Amino acid sequence: MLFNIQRYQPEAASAQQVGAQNATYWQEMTLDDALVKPGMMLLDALKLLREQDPTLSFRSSCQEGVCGSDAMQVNGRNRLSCITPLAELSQPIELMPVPGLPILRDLIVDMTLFFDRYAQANPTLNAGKFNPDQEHLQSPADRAKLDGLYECILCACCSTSCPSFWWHPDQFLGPAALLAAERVVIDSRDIQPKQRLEALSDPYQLHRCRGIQQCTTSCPKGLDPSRAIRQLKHQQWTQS
Amino acid sequence: MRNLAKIWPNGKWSYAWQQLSAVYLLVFLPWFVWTIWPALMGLDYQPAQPGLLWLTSLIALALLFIHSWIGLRDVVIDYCPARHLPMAIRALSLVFMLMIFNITLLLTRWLLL
Amino acid sequence: MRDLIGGRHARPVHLALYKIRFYPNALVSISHRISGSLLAICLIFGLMLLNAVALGWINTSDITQSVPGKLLILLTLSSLLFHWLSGLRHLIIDWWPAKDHQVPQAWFSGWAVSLVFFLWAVGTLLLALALFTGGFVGGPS
Repeated sequence: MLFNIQRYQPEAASAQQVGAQNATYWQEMTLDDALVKPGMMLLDALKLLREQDPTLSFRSSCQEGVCGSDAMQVNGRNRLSCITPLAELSQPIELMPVPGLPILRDLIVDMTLFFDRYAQANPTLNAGKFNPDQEHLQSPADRAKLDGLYECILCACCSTSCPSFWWHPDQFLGPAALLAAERVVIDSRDIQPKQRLEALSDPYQLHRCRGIQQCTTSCPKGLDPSRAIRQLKHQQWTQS
Repeated sequence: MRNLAKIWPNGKWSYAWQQLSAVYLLVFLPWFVWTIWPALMGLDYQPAQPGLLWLTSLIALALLFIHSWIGLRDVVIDYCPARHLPMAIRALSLVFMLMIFNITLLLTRWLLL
Repeated sequence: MRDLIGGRHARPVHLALYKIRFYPNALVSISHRISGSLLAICLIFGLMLLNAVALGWINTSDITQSVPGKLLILLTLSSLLFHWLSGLRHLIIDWWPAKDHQVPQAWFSGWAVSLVFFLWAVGTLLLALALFTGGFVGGPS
């Protein structure tokens, strides 16, 4: 089984004094077909490849599509390697880090910009002053509105496939953070949805979205950030 | 964002203006072509309701300018490097002011003649 | 803003667009943007020609009867047609009448996207035929 992997080793790059953009290189790697078992995921193959070359670097933690740490670009698409079946990939399997974020090493990117935008969206519920005598009840119908919004694992597959996020990762919140923003705006227990929506009315944070839909098509959890963004844009007018 | 904090319209309003103008132009353009079809075919043509045609066309022109201003501004914001952005936005607004001035001049001249 | 990020981290960033798979909807989106920009350029050109006509430098027939003039008209109308078609689809998606904005996936499918491009191609062909074989202002050329 043939792999084509974009590599970046910062030590080698700085030793050769090449510019940042020229420091990446492609490496072909082959995995013995005898080692490939039915039902194997891409991550399993990567771990076998790392036995051939211990410098090959990638993130992974839970290895079952829950932690969201192993997002990478597989044959042009952003995917989680741990839940991507090897069998459905055409060869050579082309692996790159996710687009638009600074590469730290091989398939590992610096997620700071991504998490900064998440923090900027302020996705924490504000249910008012803490009162131990009062529960914050929610009807089943209101609870159902959160479905499709809370399941995000912050893998960044959506935001890093979004052209608007590529051009403004420091100002446009990106689909993942906007999905989280909508999750609190629509929550019946939150006391400041209007302020949240008003805070998003500048030209950048929410309105850089052009409805390109790359986010929705690349979400490994089947969520629809584009729908959440459409809702936010409409709610800015219906809730103020 | 610091540079564009005061830009008109802001994100929320530009979305509303863009949708409003798009809907108007979406309906207006086919209707306009239908109405002036004889003239396009080179036939002698007098509009049945010249007042209505004038009014709707002027609204369309105004909305066209708003629609293209927001659209082009978005293109510039997306692709222009940040350090040149204030300059690019100023140049774009200058082009638009010139165009609006020019159109007003042409329309006045046409009406007077 | 991209320049800023490269400079601050001095790290490579993968933005090789030819290595990234774009979905059908992204093609309509960027084409909508390109046709819009073309329309703006045509608007400026058209305005310049209108001034020239108003000042008596050229006649309307110089535009409608010459090949460059016809090409400019074709470019304008063809861009307008695409912008109109993709804009219509965009508006339908934006205002889909569902409480939670759940738009059927069919609107984003390759079929829906192909339909936009197909209608545009047919329309442009008809416009070109009309422009270069007669019709429009000034009668047949």
